Amino acid sequence: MSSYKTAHIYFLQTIMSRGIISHTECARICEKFCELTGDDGNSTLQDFIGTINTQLLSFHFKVRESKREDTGETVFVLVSMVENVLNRLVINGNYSRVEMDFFRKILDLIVLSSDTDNPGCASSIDILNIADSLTPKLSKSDAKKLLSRLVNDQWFYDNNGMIVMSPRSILELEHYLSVAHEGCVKSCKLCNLLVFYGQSCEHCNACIHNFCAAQGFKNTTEPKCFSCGHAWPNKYKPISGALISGKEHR
Amino acid sequence: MSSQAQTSQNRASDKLSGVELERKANEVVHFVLIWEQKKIPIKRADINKHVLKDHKSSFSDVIKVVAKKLEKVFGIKLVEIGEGAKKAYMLVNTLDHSETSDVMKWKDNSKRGLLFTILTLIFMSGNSIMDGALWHSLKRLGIEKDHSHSVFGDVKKLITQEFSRQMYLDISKVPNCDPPQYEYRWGQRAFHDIPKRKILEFVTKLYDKSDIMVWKSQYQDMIADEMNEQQSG
Ligand SMILES: [Zn+2]
Ligand SMILES: [Zn+2]
Repeated sequence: MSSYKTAHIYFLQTIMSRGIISHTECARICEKFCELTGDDGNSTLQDFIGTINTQLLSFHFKVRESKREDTGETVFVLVSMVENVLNRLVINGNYSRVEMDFFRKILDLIVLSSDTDNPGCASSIDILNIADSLTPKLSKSDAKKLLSRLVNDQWFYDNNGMIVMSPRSILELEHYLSVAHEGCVKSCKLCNLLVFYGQSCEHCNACIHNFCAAQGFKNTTEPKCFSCGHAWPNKYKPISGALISGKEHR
Repeated sequence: MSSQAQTSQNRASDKLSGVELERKANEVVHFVLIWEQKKIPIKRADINKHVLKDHKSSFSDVIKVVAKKLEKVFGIKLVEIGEGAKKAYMLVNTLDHSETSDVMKWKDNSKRGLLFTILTLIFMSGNSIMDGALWHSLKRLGIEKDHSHSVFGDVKKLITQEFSRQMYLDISKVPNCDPPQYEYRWGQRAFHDIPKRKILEFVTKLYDKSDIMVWKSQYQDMIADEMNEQQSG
């Protein structure tokens, strides 16, 4: 593995500042910093990030690779490996207690979403309706501001009013979610990442991402469950434009 | 692992050493980096309360290791400010970011623009400016004290509270003035974060001058600062 150089520090600072960066952009940034510093740019992106992670290990940070659930785009996320992220956010004063309650309720709504056609996401209207049930109450306009702040801080993505979890919240809250919603947190049968926003088997409840379905059922007219072999109900849905642009990034 | 044995052994003196010292320092690094998202200096008391706990007596040993690690791995300098019980730390970037803003996409880029403008006004007025003169100048840029701004929202709060809490601005009340008047100076973070040379280059371009040396007193001020910086380190 190559040694830790200034180009790595530049990259680390960039991902610390931005939180999530797409695979494509990571490659571009990496190249830019190697050029800027004159450091060796021959290693692959995986090696480059591996070198950074070796340094980060003892500080309980990690640059992790994941995928956006809504688009399938490969991204890199800087995550803190210390549990209890939600408490940490309060201690830091980034969010107040009531704001954190709202955050938690949004997660509940998304994870427990009973809309079988669209599991793993929630409409912003439903989300804003939770504001009334909080103590102390959160006004609609404050809730609206808070939701856009959470989207801005990249905890969620907003696709025309449909809110999905970002890789940042999935990776950082993995532990919290699997304790708070035991049994509701599943891994995708195709890519093994956690899956919230996706489609599931009517027979065995196995779940896969929409972008994995598109990939996995590409060459078949009669899709079957990858787990139990039962006919797949959702066929695979027409894919949004976002997914198609996400595919180029592979 | 013998870390448990070591912990109980250390508890007698509460002084950390070796592996334990290293481990605590790593925790502090994690903590200050998370804290930094607020851009507010972290107090010694916060580090003690949230991380060191029973090992407060090792603070100075730990913080030395922390400073080294932050610089080596993250390109960040740990700068001590204040004294005694009020001792606090802020993080200052050691890398040159003059060519990276397109990829860094600093959050709050527009806020930084406003901040840069205010620091420029202060510097060009001889390192301090009265609030009346400041707001007068900002008004010409469409920024008004008592009007919500389309980008910045409550501008008054942003300047007088956020920028000052983040230690970019040092605002002090002028004694014996009615109505009260305030004097604005550069805060400690500004001295570390924003090179005066950048400001002079910016103003030189703005006024279409050929060389930053046309601003004689500011130029000398800048040179003096740069010499100081070199000496300290
Ligand atoms: Zn998948
Ligand atoms: Zn099945």
